[in-house]
Amino acid sequence: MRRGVAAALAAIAACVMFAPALDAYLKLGTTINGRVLSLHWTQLPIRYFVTDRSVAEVTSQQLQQTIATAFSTWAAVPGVSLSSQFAGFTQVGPLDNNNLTVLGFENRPQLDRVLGSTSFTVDVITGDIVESDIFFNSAFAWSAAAGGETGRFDIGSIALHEIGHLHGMGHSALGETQLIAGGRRVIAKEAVMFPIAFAAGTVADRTLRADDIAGIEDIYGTSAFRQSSGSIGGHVTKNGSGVQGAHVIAFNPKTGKLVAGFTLSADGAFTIAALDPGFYVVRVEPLDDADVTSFFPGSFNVDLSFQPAFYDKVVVVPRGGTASGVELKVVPK
Amino acid sequence: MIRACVLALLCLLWAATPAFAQRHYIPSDQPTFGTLEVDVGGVWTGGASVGTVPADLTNNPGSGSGSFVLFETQTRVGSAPAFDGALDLFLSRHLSVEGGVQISRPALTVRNAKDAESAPDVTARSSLTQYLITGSLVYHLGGGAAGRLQPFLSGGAGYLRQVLEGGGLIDTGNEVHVAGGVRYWFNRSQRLGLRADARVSLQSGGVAFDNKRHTIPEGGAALAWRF
Repeated sequence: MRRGVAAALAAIAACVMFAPALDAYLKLGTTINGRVLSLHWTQLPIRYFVTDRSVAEVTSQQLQQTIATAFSTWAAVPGVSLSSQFAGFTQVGPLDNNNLTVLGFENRPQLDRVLGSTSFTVDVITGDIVESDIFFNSAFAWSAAAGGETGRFDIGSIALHEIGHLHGMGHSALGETQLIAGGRRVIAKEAVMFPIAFAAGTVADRTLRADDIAGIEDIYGTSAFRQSSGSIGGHVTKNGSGVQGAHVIAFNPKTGKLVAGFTLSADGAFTIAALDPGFYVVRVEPLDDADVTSFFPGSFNVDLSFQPAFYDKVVVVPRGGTASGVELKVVPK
Repeated sequence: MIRACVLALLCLLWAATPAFAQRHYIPSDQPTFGTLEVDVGGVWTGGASVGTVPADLTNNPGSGSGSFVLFETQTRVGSAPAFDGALDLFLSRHLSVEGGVQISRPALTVRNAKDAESAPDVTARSSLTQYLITGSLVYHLGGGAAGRLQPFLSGGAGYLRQVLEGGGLIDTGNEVHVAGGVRYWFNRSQRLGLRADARVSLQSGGVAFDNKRHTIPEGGAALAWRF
């Protein structure tokens, strides 16, 4: 079994990173026997090792403390059942396939736009996670300073993002960007799980936002949490046909929280889960503030050709239930 | 001749005055301690803006502080007609305590505007079922002896309960109010009459989220039955 898993590692890693689970928040998923399973840890605590490898300004001990803090930040989200355990330092690199979950620095200068990456090895029969590794690209300048350091990326912020992936979360699209030479620059965002980092020197991404919190609650929420929270479900259509890959945002004016999801099927169906009960406004926009491949596999047909729009009804999310029938009709650009 | 006519008219008026006073409405059954009055009618309640908030994203600290406004929302509870009922217990000729209930279904609207990506402005709508349960102290001017028209002043506080449409979610708040109005009795027994009043209700909580008291004007009329 494990040999089979190991042999399939390369393919699975790619597949796992991009297959969206057909559910609420964009979750990492994998297809097994024709079924899309969302990736999540069934065995807790998550035992992880840290590569005993330092870089300038960040020792392996500092990295380990930063990683522990990031795990704790996710585990501290109300209503989730999550735990982790530092198993020790290791000489093994984070990209080795050894059934161990390893996080550490790795020098990948050729990946000149990748600060960090998370990969999985999954049991192809059960869908269970066998291991998940995170590498932080030591080709960049890093900092573990409490307030950040000018010109250096904050390891705490990037660790929080990557450990979100390790828990099974996909990317959030709650952000605004502008195209610049060689890529995109973030203007603003409201999710640690947005695929593009803030500029070097800032520590703003050490704090989870409402969208991140909803995402982790959607995957690891306790039954008590699910009974006390609700969701919004509906469709996005254009000229009567479903819109796939649309970004749907729910905003609660009373709490100021923004939580988003995607239409993940050809009929334009979406669900936004783990919402506080209350009233919401719903807005839909095309997925045009990051590369589509940051969210979906290339084979996933994302419709970018429509205008942003608001839903014309206030949506009331019930406690423990779904506000369904939210039909958003958009017009072509 | 004209002078004689004016004089005669003045005399008539003078002579008529006592007779008019004798026809003045004298109630046969003024309220006393323990008198009850039931009022049932309708009221128009005004609307109020209950919060304006932006949907904010966090600006890239590398290019500035503050927030990026994705869009703005203005939430409002609309004006609506309401069922209005009250029970008065008289403590004296002038004073009564009153318990009241108002039931209405105002619209809950959220105006979405100033979208950063130019989504057209939309006012999203839903509705509330609103219950306002009040307690008031009422002062009856004239104490029931003033005639068919009896003015009154009142003040009190209340409990606000708003049920959001569809979700069964309940928001609660409170209010204080002052009111003034008149009762018009159909007959001298003061059993049946009309009550008309205007009220200013200062409400907080409920679906409102701006931590302010909202001034809600109200005006209504009711049938009054005293026993």
